[in-house]
Amino acid sequence: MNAILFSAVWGVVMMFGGLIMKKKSSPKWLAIVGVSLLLLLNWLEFLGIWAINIDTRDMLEFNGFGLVFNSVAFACTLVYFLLSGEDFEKVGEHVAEYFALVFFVLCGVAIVSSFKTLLMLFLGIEIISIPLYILAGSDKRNLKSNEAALKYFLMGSFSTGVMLMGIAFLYGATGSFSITGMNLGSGPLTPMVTVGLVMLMISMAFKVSAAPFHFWTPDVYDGSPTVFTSFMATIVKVAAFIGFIRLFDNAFGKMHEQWQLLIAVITASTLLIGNITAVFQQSVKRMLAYSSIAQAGFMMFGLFALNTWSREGFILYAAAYSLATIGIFAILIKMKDYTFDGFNGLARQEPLLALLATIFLFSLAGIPLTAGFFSKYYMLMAAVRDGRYFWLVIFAILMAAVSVYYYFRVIQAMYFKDGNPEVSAVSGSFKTMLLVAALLVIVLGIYPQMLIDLIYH
Amino acid sequence: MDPNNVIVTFPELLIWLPLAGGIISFMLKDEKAKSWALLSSIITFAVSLACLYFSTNEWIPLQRVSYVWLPSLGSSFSLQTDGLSRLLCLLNALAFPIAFVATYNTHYQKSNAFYGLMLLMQSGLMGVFCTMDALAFYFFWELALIPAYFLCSIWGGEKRIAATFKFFIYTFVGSLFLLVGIIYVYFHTPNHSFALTAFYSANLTPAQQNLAFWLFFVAFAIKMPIFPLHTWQPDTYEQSPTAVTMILSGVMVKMGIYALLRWLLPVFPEAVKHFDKLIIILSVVGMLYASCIAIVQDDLKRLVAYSSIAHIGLMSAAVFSLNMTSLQGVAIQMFNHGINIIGMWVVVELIERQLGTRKISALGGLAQKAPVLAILLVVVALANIALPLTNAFVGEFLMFNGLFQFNKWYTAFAGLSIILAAVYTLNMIQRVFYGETNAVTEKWNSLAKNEAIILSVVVVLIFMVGVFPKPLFDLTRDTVTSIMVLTGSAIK
Amino acid sequence: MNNLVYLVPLLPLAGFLINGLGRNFLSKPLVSLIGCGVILGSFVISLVLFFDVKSGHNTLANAFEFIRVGKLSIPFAFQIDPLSSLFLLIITGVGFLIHVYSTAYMKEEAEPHFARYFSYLNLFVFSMLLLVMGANYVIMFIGWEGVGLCSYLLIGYWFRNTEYNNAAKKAFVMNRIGDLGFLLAIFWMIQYFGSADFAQVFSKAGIMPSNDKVLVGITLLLFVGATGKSAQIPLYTWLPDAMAGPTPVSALIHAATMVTAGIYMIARSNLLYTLAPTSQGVVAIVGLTTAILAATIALKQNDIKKVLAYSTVSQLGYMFLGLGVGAYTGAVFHVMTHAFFKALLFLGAGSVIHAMHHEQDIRKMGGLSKWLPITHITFLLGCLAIAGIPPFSGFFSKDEILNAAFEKNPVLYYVGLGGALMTAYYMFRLYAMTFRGKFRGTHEQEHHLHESPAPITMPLIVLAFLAVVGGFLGIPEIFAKDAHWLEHFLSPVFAASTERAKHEPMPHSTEWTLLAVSVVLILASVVWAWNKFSRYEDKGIEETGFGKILANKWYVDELYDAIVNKPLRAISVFLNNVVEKSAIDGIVNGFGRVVNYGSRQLRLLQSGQVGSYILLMVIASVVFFIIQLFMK
Repeated sequence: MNAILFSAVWGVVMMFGGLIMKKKSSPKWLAIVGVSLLLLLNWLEFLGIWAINIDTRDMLEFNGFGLVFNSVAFACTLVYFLLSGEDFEKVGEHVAEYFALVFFVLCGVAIVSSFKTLLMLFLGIEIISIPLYILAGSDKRNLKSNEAALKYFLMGSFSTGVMLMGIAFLYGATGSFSITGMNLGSGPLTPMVTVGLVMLMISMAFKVSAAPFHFWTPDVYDGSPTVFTSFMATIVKVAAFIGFIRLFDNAFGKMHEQWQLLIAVITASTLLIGNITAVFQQSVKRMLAYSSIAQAGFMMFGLFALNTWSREGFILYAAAYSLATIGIFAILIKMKDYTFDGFNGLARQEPLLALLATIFLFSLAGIPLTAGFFSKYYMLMAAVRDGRYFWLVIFAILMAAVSVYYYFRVIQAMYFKDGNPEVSAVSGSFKTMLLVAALLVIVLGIYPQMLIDLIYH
Repeated sequence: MDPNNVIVTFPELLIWLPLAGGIISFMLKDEKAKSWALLSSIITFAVSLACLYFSTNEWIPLQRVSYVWLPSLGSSFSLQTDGLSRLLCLLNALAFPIAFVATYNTHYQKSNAFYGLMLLMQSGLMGVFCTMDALAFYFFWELALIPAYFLCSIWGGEKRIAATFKFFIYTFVGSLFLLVGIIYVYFHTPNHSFALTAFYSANLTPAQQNLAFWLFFVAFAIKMPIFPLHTWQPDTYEQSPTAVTMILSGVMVKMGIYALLRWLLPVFPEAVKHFDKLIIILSVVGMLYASCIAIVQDDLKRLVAYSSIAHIGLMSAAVFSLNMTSLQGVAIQMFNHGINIIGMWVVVELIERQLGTRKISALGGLAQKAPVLAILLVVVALANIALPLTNAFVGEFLMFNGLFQFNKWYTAFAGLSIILAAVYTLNMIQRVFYGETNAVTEKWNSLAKNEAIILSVVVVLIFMVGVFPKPLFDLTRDTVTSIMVLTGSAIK
Repeated sequence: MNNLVYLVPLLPLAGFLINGLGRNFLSKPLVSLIGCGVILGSFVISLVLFFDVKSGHNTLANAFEFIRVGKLSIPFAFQIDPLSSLFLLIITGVGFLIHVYSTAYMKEEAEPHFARYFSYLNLFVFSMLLLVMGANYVIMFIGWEGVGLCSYLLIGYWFRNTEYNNAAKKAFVMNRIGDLGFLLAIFWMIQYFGSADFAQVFSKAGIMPSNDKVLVGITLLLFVGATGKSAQIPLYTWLPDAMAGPTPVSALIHAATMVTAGIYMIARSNLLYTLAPTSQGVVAIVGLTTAILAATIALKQNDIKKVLAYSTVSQLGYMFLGLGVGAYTGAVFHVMTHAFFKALLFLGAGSVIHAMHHEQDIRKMGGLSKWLPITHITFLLGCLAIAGIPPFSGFFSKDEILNAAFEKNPVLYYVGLGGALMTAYYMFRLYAMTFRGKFRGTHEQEHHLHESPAPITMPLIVLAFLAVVGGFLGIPEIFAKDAHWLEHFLSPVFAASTERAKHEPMPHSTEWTLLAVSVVLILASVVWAWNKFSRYEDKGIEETGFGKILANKWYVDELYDAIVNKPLRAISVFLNNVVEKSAIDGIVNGFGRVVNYGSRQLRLLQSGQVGSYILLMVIASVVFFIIQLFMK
């Protein structure tokens, strides 16, 4: 609750702040303060201290799982602001608005992580999406950016339609919006419910950019200003996932087996398309776009299995994936040339940057001693535990091997190839922030327990 | 000192010392790194010797330690050494000083990074040999790989990037299978734990064993490597800097065999007995196949690489023969093969650095210019073809013997490889050292002190073990017996 | 006693180490002193041991535990019994003489190489001693491969010459083929008898039925090993090439000692063979065939050493014939006498070559008796001995074998006799062409001709003496009752076999006739050859027809080259270029290519057209509905 209210309020604060503040860099600090407070408040709620206690009439529910997720999301946002905050200024004039929009998105995130009725889910998803349409097109003078925004909006509205229809079907079938109130039981699915379920699945799959509903992702991610791509690809994506999982776990969990095949199909195709297509990319940014799809494929296991491992694993995955991706994007933004060759010889010129980039890439590839390993590990664990569709696990690890191919191309460029890449000046503070992020990745990679324990706090 | 209140145990020392050494080396200046690495590796060697010495019962507390790591996963960071681990730790601790001294006259760019990565690799290898927890095992298994990847790709030959990338992905795929396998077994252990003991008592149906068996085996087979999963090896050995090749072939390859003994045989005894024929046949075919190919190699490195594949084939065949003799042979042969092949690489390194080529056809008559080198190489080469009174004889004798107990005909075929080995080894000796000198070999000036010394060390080891192998037997006997017991095979 | 036993092999080992490590510092005389001294030392000790054994006391010295796995235990143990003590004397005795001989023969060598030569020679003696002293098959095998190595090193002693290296390599590889057989035999014994100890194996085998297939298998595999080491069909072709080595080496290794290892091994395992008549038959046939084949080749060789080499192969064949027909004593007897006269002949040939400045072609010699009196006389005695003319040593040993063959099957005897006639013929052809007639070499050679120095002639004289009298150790029944000292001496070793294979000795009348016939025929062929080749003229005419085939050694080398070497190489090339590169690695890289290709195709889906995206999504949705509604 705290999070929802405060983020909304702070969004407004940011806007007015933008009018008052003359220095272009000051909104960033205001935002950082805001998100820190957000984190704090969320934490307080975690300890049972409420700012205002509103009876949501069972529309929202704040449990440990959701709150831990919130704190992960907000923490990542904080890191994101610290690393890429100053790059907001390069995008356009209205820096404050961008931050404001981000805060509104966070508000949506908080709702999605705690909804209890389909309406709230819808609301949350939309609150997340609409600001993003704007952010995607924020680089007004850049055609690609505008195109990205338009595409995103068009297809986004398509999925919104599908979702509403799905909700309608379910309401028709059960006469209730509440994901628990529908109490569908574990019996065989009625056609009505089936249709609703599939439609919801499709729309959510779209939001988490799971194949075959991922088509918007590469274009939008590639077209949007890199700094916002970073945000969309991380916090927003995992938020959509938490919604996805919450919905299917609570509403349809009991009839898990009946729709598991469909999830398996989505998982497989997402892994396939994401990884295989990423191999051929020449631009690191576009590669990362596909890699985000591939990672979504792994996160789908969280939905595929629906057991303790998957829940714990998903939190871990959200944190690991977001951190690493934010980090690698933050470095990417500093590069003049986004192609792989642009990274040639970075290790000689900027040893530290190269090292940190390597750590983030390791994490994405799932190499031990990085958070990425344990997140993938938990997902595999969940899948193996579930036991059905074992081929999916084998397929997943083969795809993981493929992912090594394109992640390591960057490492090869940085370390084994010669060249002098153009890197825009990086401040010492930036490097320190990056270092902290990398350390976080490694700490989680050695002792994930600390994050897991929070859930059962 | 009282073993019961110890500050630090041997396995910890063996892992942390190289790790610390490596990290320090990164911070050092280039020229200092070389000597530092040597010092660090010698200290580690000393520790491993101590670890051998204090291995009697009253010192047990010094040999095992366990930390809570991931309680919710039932995984603890537990280290322990038994005879086999101690032997391999010794090999590992011995290999690095040898490699460092032998390549002391070679200068590497950014040598602080080079030696740093080397020491990290050593640490990872130590971990593989000491850990008694599946998850930690997987960790070290991977961590040993990463430095190797960077070492080969940065300091290797001109085709290095492609070759080592293939090597990395190939082994990484294997590792992932291993990971799934570990998870799979984990869920069948009583009270879900990753501890080795828990794995030994995992209750799997035969069908489940067969599945998990392959998940594990693929990983180990790629690492060893077993025909036909071997094609990454010759390219990698050829492209890597020789110091790294020494470690790859001398120690890292042993990871695979060690893993077979520690993590495969006792965990899936049924599956092992089910697939033994198939794998032994593969191994034997591989032996002959690799030996034949070695005959026609013109690059010294490739020749040694293929001969190594042949030897490893014998080891895997022996492992799956699964009897006292064969396992005992494997146990001590792991050590011997490591020493011998490192010796071979030392010679290759010397020739390449002094004459600038590894092409056998370009060499000749070196025995006139470098008699000492010739003698030392001949000894190492003879050890490589397991001539009696060299270390390899004892091992191969026992392995063949064990294989024979499994099946006479396989042994007869496998035996052909000792003839082929003689062919390619003598060819190599003849074309490199005998005959008249030529323009290339005329360039040879002399054998540096450190090189002569290190080769002599290898030669001495070869004869010591070859004439009096008893210590190695005593060291590994218990482990081998316990494996036999765990696999429920008759001890005879 | 034990410590003495250890000293026997340890002395040569010490010699090897000292000469080997000190090759750059030690002077030639010092090297010679050490080299010969150690051998003399172990000869003396061997004598002591010999008398100890003679007084009926065998020694079993257990040095240390070599291998112990489970119930299998293989100690590093030595055994001194009549058989081994006899071989010890032959090895160290003849070995010592040849060492002395070498000091003069290898004079021209540079100091380090001189030392290298002696260290190799010592190492050889060491390995040979291990071979005969070992108390179990594994120690025997260690010596077995050790001598193979030394022979490799010594054949390729002049390592700058590629020809020689090839010869050395050939020797080693062919020996290894045999070794594999030996090794498998050992494994089988360990598996079946649970031990490789002579004592245990024989005691366990003793109670087995005759011709048990395990025994047959083991004995045949052992014999494979023997064919390698003792140059029998099909693995004999390395021995003639081995003449590339220095002549003393040929005398010691490739005539007197190493090549008889196979006979020692079978004599040692006599019980196993007696229990496996099938294998015995094989041994006899192979031995006889080799004897004949080699003899025929020797008829047409013109290289003095080649003739002797083939005669060695042939004589070894006789020994195996002896073993095959159960005349173990006879075989060992022949080993001994052969060691004397063949070493003598080789050293004599060496002295000739030395005098002729490394000319080995007997067509370029002739009439050397005038310049090399001692060499000439001793060589003649050697020829008489090998030809089997009474009362020279060869007569007794060869006759014993042939008689035994006759008892088994007359055919064996007749064929064997044919071989003996050829032996007499080619030996005296050799003798006549070398020492009789007039000199056919260059003047400058003639100018330099001279008798060799004492270190060379002394051993010749000693060996000649032995070659003459050596036979009296085994005088057959018909001459004198119980005069066969050797049989008596060795009886404990062969006891088990003899009492199993009891047979009626043939009537003395038959034996006399056989004896008379053989002696007459042999004398005849001797005279024939003597006359024919004393007036030999080098017309340089090429051999034709059958003679050509013989001169080309029945084209066996060419055959092996065609059916083994060439195919092997072809296969290897094929595996390397096609299977390895294209097939296996091709598949591995194939995965990569598939991924890349798939990537290029899948990426086309990303057309950038919202319309097509929506379309694809709709299709996907429909598919989803179908799956969910109808395909659960």
